[in-house]
Amino acid sequence: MDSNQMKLLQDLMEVGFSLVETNLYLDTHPTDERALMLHNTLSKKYKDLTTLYSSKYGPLTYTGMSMCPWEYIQGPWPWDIEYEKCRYD
Amino acid sequence: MDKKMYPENEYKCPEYELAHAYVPYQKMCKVYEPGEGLCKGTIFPELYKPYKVYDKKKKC
Amino acid sequence: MWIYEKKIQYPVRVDSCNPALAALIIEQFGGADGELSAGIRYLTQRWTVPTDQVVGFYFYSS
Repeated sequence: MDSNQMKLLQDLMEVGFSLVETNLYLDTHPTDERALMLHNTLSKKYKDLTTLYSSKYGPLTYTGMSMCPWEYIQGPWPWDIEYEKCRYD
Repeated sequence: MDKKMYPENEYKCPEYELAHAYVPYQKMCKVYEPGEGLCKGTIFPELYKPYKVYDKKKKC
Repeated sequence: MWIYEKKIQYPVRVDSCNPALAALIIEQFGGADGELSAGIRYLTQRWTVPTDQVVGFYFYSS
């Protein structure tokens, strides 16, 4: 996996995790408008990142589009990737 | 009773009573950027409670 | 109901080879009273949780 793909995947994981957090917070605080705004901003970003990532490196899910040959089984699986060290240790 | 040792209002906080258990309701304030949040395991600074490294000399 | 994504939530790094630690982690994960059985328990409890506010939490826990 080259550094560009790594960076994009890292961004995707970061925004994805923030969405888990806003999701859980909003479950118990459904009328917090600031949290909703944050969630929606992150959601837009996540959608854009997913579109960019899958157009470059193949689909992340089986429902995604693919060039020929079928790209879903190409590239590393999540457990094959050497992730970078956490920057806030 | 020594007023210095036992300040009068110590147990008179109206919101909290003795011998009751409480879970304060969270209110979102500042949040970490996604990168910092993923590393720390939460985007809420008030929930970030890392384990301290055990120090044999200090025993804590 | 579930869709597999080629992506994980937290970046896992294995820095050293430590069979003793590996055995401990495998026991904690898949052993008796491990994370896996707790996760599956949350999964089945989820179907009967009466409060909508926490259903999502059960999903993430399992």
